[in-house]
Amino acid sequence: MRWGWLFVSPYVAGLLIFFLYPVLYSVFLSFTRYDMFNPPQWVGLQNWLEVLQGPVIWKALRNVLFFGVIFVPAQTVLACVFSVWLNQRLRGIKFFRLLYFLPVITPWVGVALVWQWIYNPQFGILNYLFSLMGLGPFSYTMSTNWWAVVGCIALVNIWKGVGYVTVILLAGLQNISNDVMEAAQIDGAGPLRRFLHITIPLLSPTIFMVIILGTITTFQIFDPFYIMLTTAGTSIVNNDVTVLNVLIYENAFVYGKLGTATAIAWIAFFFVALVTLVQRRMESRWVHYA
Amino acid sequence: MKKALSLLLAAVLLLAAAGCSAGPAPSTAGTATPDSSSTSTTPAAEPVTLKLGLPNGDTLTPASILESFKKAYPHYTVEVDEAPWADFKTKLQTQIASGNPPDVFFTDSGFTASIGAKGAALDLKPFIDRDLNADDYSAALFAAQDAEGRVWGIPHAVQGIAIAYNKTLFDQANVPYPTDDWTYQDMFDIAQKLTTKDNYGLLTDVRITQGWLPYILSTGGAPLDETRTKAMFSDPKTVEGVKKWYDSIHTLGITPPRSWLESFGGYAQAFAMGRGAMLVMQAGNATTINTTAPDLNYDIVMMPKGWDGQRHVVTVANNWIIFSRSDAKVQEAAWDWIEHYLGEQAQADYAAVCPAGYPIRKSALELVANADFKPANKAAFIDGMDLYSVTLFENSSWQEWTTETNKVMLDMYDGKISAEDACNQLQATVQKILDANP
Repeated sequence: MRWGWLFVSPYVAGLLIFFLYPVLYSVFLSFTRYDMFNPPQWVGLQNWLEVLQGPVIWKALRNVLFFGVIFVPAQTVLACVFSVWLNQRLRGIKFFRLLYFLPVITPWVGVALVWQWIYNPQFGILNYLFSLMGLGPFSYTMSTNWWAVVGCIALVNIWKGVGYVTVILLAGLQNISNDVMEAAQIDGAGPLRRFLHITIPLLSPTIFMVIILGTITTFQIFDPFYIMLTTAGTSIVNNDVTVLNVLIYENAFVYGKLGTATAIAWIAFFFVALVTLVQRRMESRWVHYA
Repeated sequence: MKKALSLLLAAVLLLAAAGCSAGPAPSTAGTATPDSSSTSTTPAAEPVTLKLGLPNGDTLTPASILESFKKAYPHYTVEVDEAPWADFKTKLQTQIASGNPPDVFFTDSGFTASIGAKGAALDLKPFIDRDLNADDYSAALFAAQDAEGRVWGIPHAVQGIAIAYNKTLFDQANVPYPTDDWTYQDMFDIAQKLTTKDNYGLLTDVRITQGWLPYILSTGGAPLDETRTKAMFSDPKTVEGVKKWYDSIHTLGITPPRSWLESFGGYAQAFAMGRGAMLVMQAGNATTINTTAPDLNYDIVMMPKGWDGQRHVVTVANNWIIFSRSDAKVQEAAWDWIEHYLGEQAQADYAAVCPAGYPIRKSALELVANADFKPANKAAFIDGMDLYSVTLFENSSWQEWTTETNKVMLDMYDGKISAEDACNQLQATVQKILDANP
């Protein structure tokens, strides 16, 4: 018993110092005014009230939710299709698996810069292609509509993230026994029926996991918004198209207001917990564990 | 066993509390008195390790200055801490929080005011009084002085704005070059003549220094009052200035949309590529322009007189700051660095390249005026700063109120809101920030 405690103590110490203490300290900071130099001053609920009463947090939350509504289902559905396709025994399939995974390992900065060019309203290739069809020009990330801007970034995120989810689903697919498929085939089920009634239910625990991961990614989103929406060298993301993590970063490291930043972080946490709770509630209705 | 576990947990919590406290105990920040026996010419022989913070490394601070410092003070071990400009500030915030920033570093004027207000910068006034002859320097030596007379930083360099013009485009359109007696109206008229389907007449930034502030000043307005505690965006003169900027973009079409600017990587790059006839230019932009387009045929002219009949030259000084909680002997070493940097030879070395604006030593400014790099008419910068200088309205909340203002101005630049709506929004937003940071 004593040896057991000794062996787990490094882990417990790490947990206490690097996880529990910062978490509890951030709760304390959210009730203080802290400029990262002078000792924190207790201000009670002031940070929380200021954040919740201002319009920016709600805009950020709206943008995050809108981003998630596009990103999570689209990424999951596309990844399902790709994983089924990449699960075939086709010639050169390994090459295609690599191809789909390439955006995942590309750094966000490079991806964001390339997509900024693709989206450029004046000289971008997308508007050029649309112009050949007599459409456009469109403004994309420079649109005056927040939903267009957030939607365009969600598309980039889908492009970058779908390969990762595809690999996870592919692993799930390869765990489905061939016997089940063959039995269904012998019973006369066609490819679509097998996909809807055999593959999807057996894959549902993996699908549920990628939906949870996608939801977490949604609430953690930062890089594409910060890189793609800041004007050359300005580090300005407009409040209309901002997201929670950009607000946290801005308050902490640009304004030096750790109290406000931690209050926003905790508000974000409550929303993540709420959404995850709803998803867990729905889980039993459609997820089938073998 | 329970007792042992409790002891272990208590020790861990104590360690955690010690490790995460807000740095060293607060000192009498910013009020240190320099050692009167120490002078730069007879450096103390005691070994000192000096952490020197250089944003953008030797791109902005010539390597020769650091080398000569090391030779002059062989007993100092200099550790250089460098990062790209924008990242340096972020890094600095966390380093200050952990009580471990560079002992001496330079940063922008707005951040200087903020660092000074929170007590992280050492008051350099006693050092100036002890070791410098203020007459050797331009008035910018005291650019970081606050209302109580404390000096939070010494300029690394100082840069005002002027209008750069592309001589080739002017010649092609048969338009005479602007002269120092011109007005904003003249500038608009010329820009209209030089705006074509490929080029724009006048390029500006979307931010404070080369964007909205010159326009606000041109109509006699201001973003804040003299005490820098009251927002002035509802002042009709300020609204008028913002309207003028709006007109240049959306009514006259002489200033390009943001998407067009970003295609070239920004306003200075677009000018360097010959796509703008005129540019609201900072001295530091010359490095970008001269490197990107060494053959570009351009020069500068002083800022035009505003609609209020006055000339206003927005001037920025990036400042050397000494961390207030560094050890006293390290602070002396840090001051030795600043004094060395302000010396005759180092300032001459800086003047030879001027990567981030102009030096503040008068003798070096004379060298700049005659230097052979472009623009040729450097007097437009030097005289502009000397005679018509206006600062960026720095105060302790500068970082926050300017960022929030930039956001609203960006919306206006993009045509999402009118100039009047922008000013209405800003009056409330900026005043709230100022009230929260008295």
